[in-house]
Amino acid sequence: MTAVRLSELFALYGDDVYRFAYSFTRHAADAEDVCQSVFCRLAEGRTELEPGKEKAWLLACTANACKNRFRFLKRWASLPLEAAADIPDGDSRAVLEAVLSLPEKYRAPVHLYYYEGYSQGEIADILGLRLTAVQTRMQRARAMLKEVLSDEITL
Amino acid sequence: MRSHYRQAMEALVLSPEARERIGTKLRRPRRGMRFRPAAVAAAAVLVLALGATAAASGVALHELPAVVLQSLQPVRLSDTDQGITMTVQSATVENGVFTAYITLTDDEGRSRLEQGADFYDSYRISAPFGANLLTCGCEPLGYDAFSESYGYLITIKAKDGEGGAVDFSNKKFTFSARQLLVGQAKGQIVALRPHWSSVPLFPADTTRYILGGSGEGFKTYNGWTSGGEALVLQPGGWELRVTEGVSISAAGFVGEQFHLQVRYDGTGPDDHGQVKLLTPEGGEVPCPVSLSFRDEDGTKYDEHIYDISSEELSGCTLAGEFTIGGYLLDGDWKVTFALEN
Repeated sequence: MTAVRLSELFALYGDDVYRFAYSFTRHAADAEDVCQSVFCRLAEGRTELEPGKEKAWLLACTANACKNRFRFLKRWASLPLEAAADIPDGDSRAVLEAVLSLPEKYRAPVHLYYYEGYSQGEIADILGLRLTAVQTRMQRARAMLKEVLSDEITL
Repeated sequence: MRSHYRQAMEALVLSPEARERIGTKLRRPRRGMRFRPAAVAAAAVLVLALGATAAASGVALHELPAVVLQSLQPVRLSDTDQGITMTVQSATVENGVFTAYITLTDDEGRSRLEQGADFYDSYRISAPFGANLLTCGCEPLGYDAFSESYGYLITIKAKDGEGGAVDFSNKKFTFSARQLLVGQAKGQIVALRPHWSSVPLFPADTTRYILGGSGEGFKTYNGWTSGGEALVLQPGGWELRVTEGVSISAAGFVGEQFHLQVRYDGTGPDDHGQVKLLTPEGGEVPCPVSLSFRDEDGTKYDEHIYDISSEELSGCTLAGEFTIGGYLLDGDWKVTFALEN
């Protein structure tokens, strides 16, 4: 892959990868590190991306990087929502904080569904899960979100 | 819910600094991965210290290339934290290549540096290279018992935007580090002969996210799956203690390739090593693919893959060197200096 193509993909999807990583890590610097590692992995050139599926590959790689590379740090659970400080109080902030307060395994499908707009089948492919597992996690995540969010916010 | 979440998420973007840093890396992608992720950054580092007596003398405490030794200008500026002194002994700039000779000493008289000191990934080089920095490297010079110092030779190459040598004249350089990895122990095996006959021909396998790797067949390894994951052996399938803190955690044949998985059982921040599979004649069996990964609790594994049959394997032995353990020493070492042109 050429440096120009890499730069194009980074310009297109850099923020999306960062946001997905942030939904895992809840920490800006860690999310940036994950983002960097994902694009550097792409730059190593051993992967030929299927046209039209570049973003799905990047998000799958992001999920794996988050799950396997940093889990051993065991520190994300206690981190404050630092980046959320830039978001004004209101429903959007409440929703973000509610999602980020979910257990880790629920945050990724919720992010891919509500932010990226993927179907549950596509989410299963990206996360390497069975469709039923994604359906179960989404169901439980919605139940948890419903408990903490205002009734005016429909899930 | 969707609109609120999207609105909040849209406010989260990569910082300009991160965008620039990543963009720069992608414009100059690295073509080879090295085997020690933490050491990759450290290899581009600097630092160290030196005793006052030696510093005053200006004599090189470690073996340096003659051409470098002749051109170095004395600097002799140091900074001390945590009882460790980092000293920039001397430096030079010639033809766009910056070179610095740096030493570390332990002012508390303890031997924290005897086994080596690694800057891990905490170093910074602030210099007039900017985005034109091409390469930087740090060559450990070893521990000098007489001066009780550990030395490094740092080289940095840079070019301007038009490919010419960067003018370093009258520019300030700053070397700084925030962590040192000290207290690591060395281990070695010379001719370990496992019971290869007990190696499973059909071992359990799994996939893991690969942190790094090496070998001419690394990129084309047929076990790559998706999302940066690759096929590796299921850890625990064939156990053999190699040396303190290092074990063989699985071995077996996948297709026509022999996999040998090494597990680092300790908790060192940068446990690593090299394993060699040797023929009965003492020759090294080529290893076209090596992979590095961690499991969910952080345990580190290296998996080496060989093109060798079970018949050929039966007479082979294992050799290797390992560096394990140690701890990170937090501090703040910083030296700023200028060179005369």
